[in-house]
Amino acid sequence: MLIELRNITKTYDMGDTKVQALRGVSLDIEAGQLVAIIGASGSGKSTLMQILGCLDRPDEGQYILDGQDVAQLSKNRLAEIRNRRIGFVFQSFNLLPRLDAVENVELPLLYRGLRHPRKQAETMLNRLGLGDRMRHRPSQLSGGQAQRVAIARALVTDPALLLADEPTGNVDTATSKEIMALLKELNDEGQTVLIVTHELDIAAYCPRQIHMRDGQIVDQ
Amino acid sequence: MLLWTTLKIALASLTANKLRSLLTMLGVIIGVGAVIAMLSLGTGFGQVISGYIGKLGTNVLFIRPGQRGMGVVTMVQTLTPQDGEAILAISGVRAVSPWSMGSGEIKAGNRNTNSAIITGASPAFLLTQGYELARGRMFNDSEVRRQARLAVIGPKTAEDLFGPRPPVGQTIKIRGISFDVIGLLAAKGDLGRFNADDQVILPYTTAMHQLPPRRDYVQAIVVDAFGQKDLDRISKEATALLRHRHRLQPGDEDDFDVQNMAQLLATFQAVSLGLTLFLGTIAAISLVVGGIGIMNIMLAAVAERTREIGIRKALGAKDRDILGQFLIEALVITLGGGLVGLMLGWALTAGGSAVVRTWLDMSASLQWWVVALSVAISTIVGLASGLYPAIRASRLDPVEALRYE
Repeated sequence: MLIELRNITKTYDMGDTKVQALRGVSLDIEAGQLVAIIGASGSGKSTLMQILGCLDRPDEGQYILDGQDVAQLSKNRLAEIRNRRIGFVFQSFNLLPRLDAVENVELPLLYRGLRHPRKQAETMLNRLGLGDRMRHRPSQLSGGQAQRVAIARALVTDPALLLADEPTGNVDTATSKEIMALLKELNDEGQTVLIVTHELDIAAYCPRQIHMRDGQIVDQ
Repeated sequence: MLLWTTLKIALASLTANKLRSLLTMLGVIIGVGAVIAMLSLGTGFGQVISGYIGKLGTNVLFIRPGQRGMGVVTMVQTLTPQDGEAILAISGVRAVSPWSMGSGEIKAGNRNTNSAIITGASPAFLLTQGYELARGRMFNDSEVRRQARLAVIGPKTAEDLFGPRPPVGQTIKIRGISFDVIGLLAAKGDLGRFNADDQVILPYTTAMHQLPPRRDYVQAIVVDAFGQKDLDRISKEATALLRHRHRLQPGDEDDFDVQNMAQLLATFQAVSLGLTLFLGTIAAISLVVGGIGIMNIMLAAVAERTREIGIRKALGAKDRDILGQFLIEALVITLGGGLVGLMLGWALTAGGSAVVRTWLDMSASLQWWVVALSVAISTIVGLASGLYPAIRASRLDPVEALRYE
């Protein structure tokens, strides 16, 4: 089992009121699955994604990632887990605007401590069909190309889990299909992919769909 | 993460904002430049004056007529050559020379000069003032007593009057009176407004009694002691002796002023150091302002780049990676600024010396401690102004930072 969540809770303190974002979420995901987490805004899917991505820690509960309990690790250890085990793809690409494609893809490897990660970054960009866009900055790329660079950046560390948060939210329908095809293709090659979305037709690409409402999984 | 990588990332974000980086640096450039210029010029000025006083001799007392603090030396007619002879009897005194200074046209054949100082002195003058002879001889005591018309001249004066010809054995004319040149001084070097190499030394008796305006008092008495430690005692004894000779009553003010050159030098050095530190402090305030500017810019940069920080953290940057990135950015700004400031400060120092050189022989030099100081100052300013923004950046929560628009 790649991911085991047991009774995860998370409450945000919004001053006067407390918002219970997750109310006891339990979830198993096997390696190699393509999973969609679906829910309206406020359903808790973003919070779940943040905890799955080790960006945040749950208040209570257990999170076993690839055999390791990561629920209450220190900030530094979580940074290492993010760096080595998880690849993020964001809705707005989140490429660094002042770096070109190859430099963006190098970044996680640099934070891992590699001295010369250029070769790996180029290989990954070539693999995603961006060989002719290496030295382009994000502003010089189309939305689809930018998201593919972001996917290359997520994959270059060979992560156990690819976490995509609304990956098609900022692109047109044609590009959206293209990106989903790519994610599916990666999954076919064995990559575990988890997509957070509120669009049902995006979720339809995924054999497994997890529906969330009011901080709980209502259907999986 | 590796230091080199951090440095590369920091440089990339600095060059991406060239104008802003440059303007931020300007604060450091001006601050470091001002500190270096002030310290270098102040130190150089102090050295020049110390050297000047040193050349006059630090084993020496100057006794001048009139009262201290009267500003312009008034021609009080109280000091006589006999006063000098009396002082010679004080124990520890090696030599005494009356001293007068004047100016006027000096002729030799068809050439003349107006720049030379006409000094009246005794044979001990060479000793008390640290002069040496290059050629010929100094007049002696008996020649002084009989008011001999003899002259020892400086190398600059000799050059002006005789060109390449040897001056010893020639004759010069001052106000119509002929003097035989019997000696040539060795070059001593320029002492600012007073060029020791451009003077004519006559027996003080001759200068007093034969050159108009004729008079029987002297302008100063130079007392040379065997050692600096005796100067205070000799100074007190000379004061008592002169008060007695001038028949001053208790309560009367001295009608002469005894200057202890060693004391003068020490006082001057203290004042000079104080002035240098004062100017340096004022300049340092501009550095503090520059540092505040850097902190301000860094805080703005952290806010502006919140999302970037969130992305970096999502990709696995640890707190210390972010801390290092922003600290190194601040250090690059301040060290770069410090380097340019060092050059600016040196240019100001060189320019300042060049301006001052018209009336003071000053060559301020760049000293290693000034370079070390500017590097140290820049590093401290960089760390001090960069630390707080960098800590703020490193502590950002990745979730919050990623949400930031």
